[in-house]
Amino acid sequence: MTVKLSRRVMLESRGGGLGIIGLSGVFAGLSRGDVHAAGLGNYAGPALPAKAKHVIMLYLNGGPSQLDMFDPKPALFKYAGQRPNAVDLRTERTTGGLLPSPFEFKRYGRNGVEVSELLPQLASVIDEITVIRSMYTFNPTHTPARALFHTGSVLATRPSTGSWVTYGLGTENQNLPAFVALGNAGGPQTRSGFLPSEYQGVGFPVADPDPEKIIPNLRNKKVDATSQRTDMDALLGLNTDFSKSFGADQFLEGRIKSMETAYRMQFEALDLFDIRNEPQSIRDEYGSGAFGTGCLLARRLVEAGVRFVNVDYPGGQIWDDHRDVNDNLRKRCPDMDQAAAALIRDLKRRGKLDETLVVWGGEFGRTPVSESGSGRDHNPYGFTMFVAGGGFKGGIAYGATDEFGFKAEQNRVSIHDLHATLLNQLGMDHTKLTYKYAGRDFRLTDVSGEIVKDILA
Amino acid sequence: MRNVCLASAAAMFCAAVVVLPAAQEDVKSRKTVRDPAYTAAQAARGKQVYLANCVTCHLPELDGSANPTEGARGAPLVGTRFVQDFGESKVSALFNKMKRDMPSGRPGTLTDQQYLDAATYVLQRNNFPAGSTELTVDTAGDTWIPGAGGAEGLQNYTFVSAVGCLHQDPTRSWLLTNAEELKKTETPAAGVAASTAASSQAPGEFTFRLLDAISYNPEPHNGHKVRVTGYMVRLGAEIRVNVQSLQMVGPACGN
Repeated sequence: MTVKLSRRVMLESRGGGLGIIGLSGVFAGLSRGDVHAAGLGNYAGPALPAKAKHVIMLYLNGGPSQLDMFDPKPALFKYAGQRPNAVDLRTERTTGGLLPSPFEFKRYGRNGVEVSELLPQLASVIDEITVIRSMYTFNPTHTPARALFHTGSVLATRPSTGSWVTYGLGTENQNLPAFVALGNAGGPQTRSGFLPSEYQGVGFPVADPDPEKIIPNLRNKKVDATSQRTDMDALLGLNTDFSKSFGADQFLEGRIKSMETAYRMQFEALDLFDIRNEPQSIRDEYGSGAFGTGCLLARRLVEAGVRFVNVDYPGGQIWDDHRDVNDNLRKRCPDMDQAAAALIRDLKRRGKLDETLVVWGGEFGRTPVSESGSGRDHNPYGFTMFVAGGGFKGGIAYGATDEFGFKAEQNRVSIHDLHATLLNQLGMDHTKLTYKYAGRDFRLTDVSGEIVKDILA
Repeated sequence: MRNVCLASAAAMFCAAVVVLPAAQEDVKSRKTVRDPAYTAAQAARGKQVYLANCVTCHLPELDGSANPTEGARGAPLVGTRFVQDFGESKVSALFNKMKRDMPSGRPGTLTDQQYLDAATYVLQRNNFPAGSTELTVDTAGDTWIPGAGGAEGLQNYTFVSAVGCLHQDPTRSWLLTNAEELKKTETPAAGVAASTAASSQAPGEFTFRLLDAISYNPEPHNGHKVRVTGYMVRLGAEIRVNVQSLQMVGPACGN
């Protein structure tokens, strides 16, 4: 009788689990390709034709206003300050009459997608962008809505999209974390939840582009490479003995993987995280702010094989414009617009956009009715996100909200639908990417999710 | 106690009523950059400062990110955006902004004189006239950059009409130029008599950006004299009109 073993099972059967294989690879001097082959993913479903290999998530924490950026609603002027009967959705806080957007929208690209004057640079690359104007979510409060956006669940324990993707696909570069979060060190953006801890996002601050500030102490100034290797050898021996005696342990595996990754990062991370290695013209194109640094680093990381990069716009929940929305957006949009557009343009120029999914958005949108006279409240009923690259059509606006931009009405897209579509573009059936925990299989999309086929190229 | 409060409130209300005309008078009598506030020689020096330090981001025509050229990144320093950002501010606000944040990546590295000179070049490019006295830090502190004007006393979202020249700028924005002050109106479209009156109306001094003009097929009327109705909206110091009707009243603007 012939027993067929998967490569993963065969490697594990030789003792010590994948973490130890990876770590031993460091010491045995395996090439990057050899080690890459060992870093297999866990997706066991049918292999769908993958369009993308990497994801860059641009996250605007707080809920950016779709009405002032991507979803023009001239009807708001007619009823400015009023509350017609059709405007009957419950809001999070006390709200008043309809608040028109004072910003000018123009048509851009081959299909004339309307974009606000706040985003001239994103408008210039609109043919690479699929604007989804009919997003909706299920919770109007930041913390659960943020969890829903990143993990597909309002619960504070579920794995993030980045964790699911790296769990499913593995990594392309063992010298770097598979899942990186720039500008954010925790929360639902990076949480691995019940997935093994090696799939947790590794956070790096980007406020200061100096790589020594982004990854402090990466270079060991006290212990030389030979001594480090001796230490690591000893540790490897202890861990191997433990595994032989007690069997593979996922927490030990995760810890070994983390140590292995940290050790390997010494080889290329400092150079990779040093954007001073980029030509000045490229750095200027992205801008000198933290978001520009984050977007430029994201491009460098996916080029180096990092699977999933989350870039947070700096400042925490800063897109939460309960008052002075016009002034705030005028101040905040330029560097976001510049960096996000530069990322798309740069990936395109380098031939990487087709295999990289860029996702832009926040946990919800904002209401067409005013709060505090000059602001907008949370709006989970209808908002805008966009995706670019990765096998999406580009140059289109999909779906529509109602006359006032309050509720998604045509071709509605839920967070689960978006997640299902992202996984599809990465070659995974979202119903087959599962992890058994507490006696049942879990999915990123829970029991929902329809692939939005109309926006696929 | 309640009577005291009422009396205080009444006094404050009366003070506000009395003070308001005086405040308006102050606005009319204040010194602005329409009164010459710099010299041509100073603006010429400013141009050199601009070309050496600012042009990469804000571009040769000072239109910055409003220019469709890929990669432009500085805020526009001319036109309606300049009015939006610096209208109803003193020149010192422009000077201080430049000194605090510019040049990008190395703020505060120029001398005060260089910042002042560059500011006068920006004023010149916004068609404010040169005179015989240079701008100084002191005069920048008491000279105003006017707002767009043209909507005196009107509340935001008032339904208005205006006659002017329909014009598309290089960034494809639709503007109503050489327009008279906005007037409150009830009628979306003008009848024959109003159209005739509008066609002979003299050119005005105001420019309004038109929102949602693209819904009214404006291209064939580029350069025509038109009557526009819509909702007035303020953005910073700029006045805009959300178009509800657009009616050609003359084949040329007459200016």
